Amino acid sequence: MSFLTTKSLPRRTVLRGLGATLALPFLDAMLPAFSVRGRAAAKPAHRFQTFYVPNGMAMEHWLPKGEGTAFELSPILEPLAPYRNQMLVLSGLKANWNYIHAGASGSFLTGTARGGRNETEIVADVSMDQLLARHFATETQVASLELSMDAPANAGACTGNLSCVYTHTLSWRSPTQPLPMEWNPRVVFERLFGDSGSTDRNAREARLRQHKSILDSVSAKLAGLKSDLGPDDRVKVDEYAEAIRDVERRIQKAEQQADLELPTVEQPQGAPPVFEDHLDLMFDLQLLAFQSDLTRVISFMISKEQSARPYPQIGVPEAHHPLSHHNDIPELIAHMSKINRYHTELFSKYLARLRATPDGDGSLLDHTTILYGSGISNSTRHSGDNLPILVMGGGAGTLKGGRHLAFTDKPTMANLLVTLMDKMAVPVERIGGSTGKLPLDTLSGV
Amino acid sequence: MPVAGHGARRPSWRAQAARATIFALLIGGGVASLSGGQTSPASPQAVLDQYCITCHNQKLRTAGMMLDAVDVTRPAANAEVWERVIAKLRAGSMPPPGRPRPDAATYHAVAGWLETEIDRAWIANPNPGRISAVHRLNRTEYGNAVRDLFALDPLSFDVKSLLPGDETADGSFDNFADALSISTAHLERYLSVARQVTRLAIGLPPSSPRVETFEIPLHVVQDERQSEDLPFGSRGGLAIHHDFPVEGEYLIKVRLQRQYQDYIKGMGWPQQLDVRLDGKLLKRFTVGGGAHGRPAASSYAGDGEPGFAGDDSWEKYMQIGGDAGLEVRVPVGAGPHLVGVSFVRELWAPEGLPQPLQRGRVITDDQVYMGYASVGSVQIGGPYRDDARLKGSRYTEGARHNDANNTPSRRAIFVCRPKLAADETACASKILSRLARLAYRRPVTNGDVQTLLEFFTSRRNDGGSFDTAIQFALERMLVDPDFLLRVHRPGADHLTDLEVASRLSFFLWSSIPDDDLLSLAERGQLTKPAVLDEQVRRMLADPRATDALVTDFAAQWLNLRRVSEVVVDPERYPNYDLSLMQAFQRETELFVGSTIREDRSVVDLLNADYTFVNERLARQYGIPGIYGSRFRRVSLPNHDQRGGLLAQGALLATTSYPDRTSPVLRGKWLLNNIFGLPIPPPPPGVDMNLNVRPGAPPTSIRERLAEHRKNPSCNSCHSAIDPLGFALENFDVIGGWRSIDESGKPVDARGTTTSGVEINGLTGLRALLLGRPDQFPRTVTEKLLAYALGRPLEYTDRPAVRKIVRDAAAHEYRWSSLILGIVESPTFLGRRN
Repeated sequence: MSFLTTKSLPRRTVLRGLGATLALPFLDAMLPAFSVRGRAAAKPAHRFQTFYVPNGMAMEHWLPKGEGTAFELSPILEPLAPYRNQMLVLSGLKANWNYIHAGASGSFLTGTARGGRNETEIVADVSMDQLLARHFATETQVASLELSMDAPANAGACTGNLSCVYTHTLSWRSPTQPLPMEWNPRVVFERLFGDSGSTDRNAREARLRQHKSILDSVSAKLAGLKSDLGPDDRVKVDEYAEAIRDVERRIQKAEQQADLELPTVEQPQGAPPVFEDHLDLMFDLQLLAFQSDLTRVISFMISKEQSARPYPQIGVPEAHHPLSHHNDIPELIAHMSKINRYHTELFSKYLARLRATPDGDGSLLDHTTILYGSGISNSTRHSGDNLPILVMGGGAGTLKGGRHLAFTDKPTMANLLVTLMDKMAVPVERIGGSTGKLPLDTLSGV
Repeated sequence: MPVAGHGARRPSWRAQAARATIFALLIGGGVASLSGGQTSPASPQAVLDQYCITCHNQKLRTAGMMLDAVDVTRPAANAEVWERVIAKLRAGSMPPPGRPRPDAATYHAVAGWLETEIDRAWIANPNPGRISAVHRLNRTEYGNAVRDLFALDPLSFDVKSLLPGDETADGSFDNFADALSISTAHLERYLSVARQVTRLAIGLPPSSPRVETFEIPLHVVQDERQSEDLPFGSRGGLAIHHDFPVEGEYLIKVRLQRQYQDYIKGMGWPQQLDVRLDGKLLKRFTVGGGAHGRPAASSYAGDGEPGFAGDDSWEKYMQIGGDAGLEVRVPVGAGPHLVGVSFVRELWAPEGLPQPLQRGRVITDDQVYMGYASVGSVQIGGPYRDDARLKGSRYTEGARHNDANNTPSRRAIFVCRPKLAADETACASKILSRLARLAYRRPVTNGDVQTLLEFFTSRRNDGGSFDTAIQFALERMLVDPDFLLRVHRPGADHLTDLEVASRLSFFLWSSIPDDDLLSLAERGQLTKPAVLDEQVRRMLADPRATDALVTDFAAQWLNLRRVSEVVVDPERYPNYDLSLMQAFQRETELFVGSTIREDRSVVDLLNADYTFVNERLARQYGIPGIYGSRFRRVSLPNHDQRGGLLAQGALLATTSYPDRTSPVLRGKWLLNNIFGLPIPPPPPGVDMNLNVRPGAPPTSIRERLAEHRKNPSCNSCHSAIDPLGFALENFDVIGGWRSIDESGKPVDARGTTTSGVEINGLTGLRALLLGRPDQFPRTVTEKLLAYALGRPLEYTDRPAVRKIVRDAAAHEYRWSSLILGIVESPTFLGRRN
């Protein structure tokens, strides 16, 4: 058939849609009753969270003095003092793909050594959180949550001629499929609780049944459509079919977990205009998701990479990104470091909530591993060496905190990712351009 | 013969260098016509040999272009290469500055010759380019399709906000097929939205009372009447068009705006707040003036430091009490209604010494106790059942189709009503097949109807009413691939009539074809030239066309969607507020819309002597005598400062940084979107920070950009970008006219283009664009064509563009001539197999 000559056309990599917003059913019930009943007192699940901060760091104010257990908290790290014994500061790691801002967020969880070459070429590698998500998809209703405080764009070039996709997300489902990061608390709520109109179990189940019948019928139609198209053109239809399978899996999972008691929470109306209110709401939802075991993997960006957010509330009215190009002027570096410190303060509040939430025989913080950091170190040069990285939390007993590990052989970030996968008991051979594992437990002899 | 002996004809390096030096000196002075003494027309081959092949040959392979390997006498054989050459020649960007360049006439002649040859070959054998086999509806199109299917009031129901975004940066459009995929997130949304939309359209009560919140952004100034839908004599507030799903009791709740420290603004004196439904006053509240006790310390916007807060009772009033109880419960009938919340306008002038405005924080901190209270948000919640009153009567499902619940969408959907149970299947079949035809944009098959009827029957058998059963079937319809996807099955080398109908309606209306268009396509009549022409004109005359082309096409092309995201330094620009930004956006929308509606020449977009302003905007533009918040058309008294897109705030603000203008951003934007000469981005690793060192005297932007001129690798692009941006230096970050720039010196808006033309200011820029009358129409055509095709343009499309522009010249490049040219082009009607 003549259409097969489409093979001679350059087939562009498919760009995935980003930015999910959707109205959610509104509950007029109003109470945060956070009790997770009905869960056996089995071994508490190990959760993984990424907490990403953009535009690099004022490294002079970040790097702690001293190594091993005897290290001094730097000004930026000082707000995390109460969590010192569950904190690992890592220095000396290199970004796998150091290319302006695209590489920073693009390789942070993927370890990819390269990205696209132009605006429409979207390629990286599978990200660590998605590898975990695939594993936990059999155990939790929501395989993973990808959240951000910024609404994403999905086409056009944002940094160095590359697509905006790279700076708007950390998570990649496949080498060519970046995932949108939710910024609207309403949408996050729906992702967790569906659109049945209430968290009441019967209503949810009825809705699930309806969805199933609709999806079955659509699947049948898609199969017919697919057979009409040439092999090159079936990609989109395949995507649609894959999305259907995904939703069907979720439905199945939800049905199996029908006896999970969900706390009733008032559904957020949208994204509050004030940054801290919005952030609080996102923290609420993340806590809820972990607590009720709806998911065990969260990737969170406090702002997109190359963020231009100003922080007037702490006396920094300048846009973050231009400020991050301080040209090594000490006054400007100090000024920018206020933002870095603000981020760790906010992070510290989140940690406080995790610590205050009982989970099994300890707290949620004890059973979580959190990767905090940025894909750029020296912001003004977009430097990819010596990234600012923390591993926080008890890691369900797999992490020994209270240390500063300074690596001198320049391992790449991907090696850390592989190591963390090990800690999560989901070992992989390789992530992106990794070359091995990091000796997190033995370095510095403690 | 191909490949003249380039070695033999190349002048010696020394001679070349000498020539180049003379040339470089003269370029700076703006004299362009020096080319080694030759002024007689040279053949294209001779020109190439002299100026191009010295670098672009098979040995050096500069930029991958080997012009000695292709035959310039038969350009159609290698159109891809020659189109790149044409682009460079038209831009005048090659040879690069510092190298010998031919004169303007030669540029024109060679480019023209190449174009003519390629176009001739293309017209004889058009290559329409590819079409994506599967093209998903983007969210704008989905929203419009649903609006048209169910006759939903577009003002009251915003489907777009319910779907994943397809936002873009400048350059591409959000309807490009390749960028539109279907992820799980999309599917989940489609499932949910399908349910909501169909329930709303059919008028089924939501399963639980819903609260919708409508917010006013913080930086919108509420000193004036906010909208045409609010009464005269009102101040501030919000008019909401809301689609009430069913008749019932609803709660309207108002929350006032807080300032930075979470104190409610303007609580120092009593003001009156009105809540209206469809213009009728429901309740008038008095807010403000009710604080008792000792207020907070003299700086009203206290920092929360100990000792500065007021008495507990005062604090409580300022944070909670001031807007407690601002709610009204009211019975409302089903369908779209207008809820208006506004203050009664009382002009207030302060006595005594003026307070200095506080700076250094967000603007709201400047609002003082005695200023105007503002509305922060309005919530509409419901329906709340009042069972005693509604028992057994109109609220029951069976009585849904009486008048109180008869909305436009219900009338659109229920084209029949079954009187007996036995009639139900037939009626359902009629309803569903009518809607499926429109939704799937083709004649319905038995299979289609059967599938939908299955869902109807299953819900009916589950205990649902006739209406809920129809709703479930429609829910299924809206998730069908035939609705969500435009499919172009492999086949002939031209699109079918049905495919053309869809392509046409999504182009001009961003929506599904209407009944007339569909009928013509079904009968195979649409692609007859006379019919096609008539349909395009009919569609353009429909108000949907202006709406769609302005809010979808132009909004993306001209960056209007980013206007509300613009960040401006309030210290340097105390005039800045969101009302001004919104006014900018509205101005450009109305302006572009007027040129489309009146079928003006697209050149008027650059050269018009009128625009649309309200009082706020008129003040900004220096137009006297305009009062009130309504937008109206004005003739511009100062055409050297205003008039056309280039002088409109929307463009100028979205191409600036918060604290300074950026000739680079502006120049780049102009090249990409007005001149149609796209420029590649900077190489990675370039330091782009221009901030002044603290303590150093402020330098002008031109001085800070000096590196662009000194460094040859920068200069290659910046010689094209910067002069255009400098021409707009008279416009500050928020589009205001200025004659002194940020460094305190007089604005220097001069520049010299790569072709050596000197321009100065807005008038010079305009003259440059209008000097080549087909240049801007060509850019507009390229943008429109990409938008119409749903893909970026490729080299095979350039001849199509040139032909459309040539043909449009006879019609003064009116919008209709460009659009008709596009629709009738083989690129639009055909496909490459």
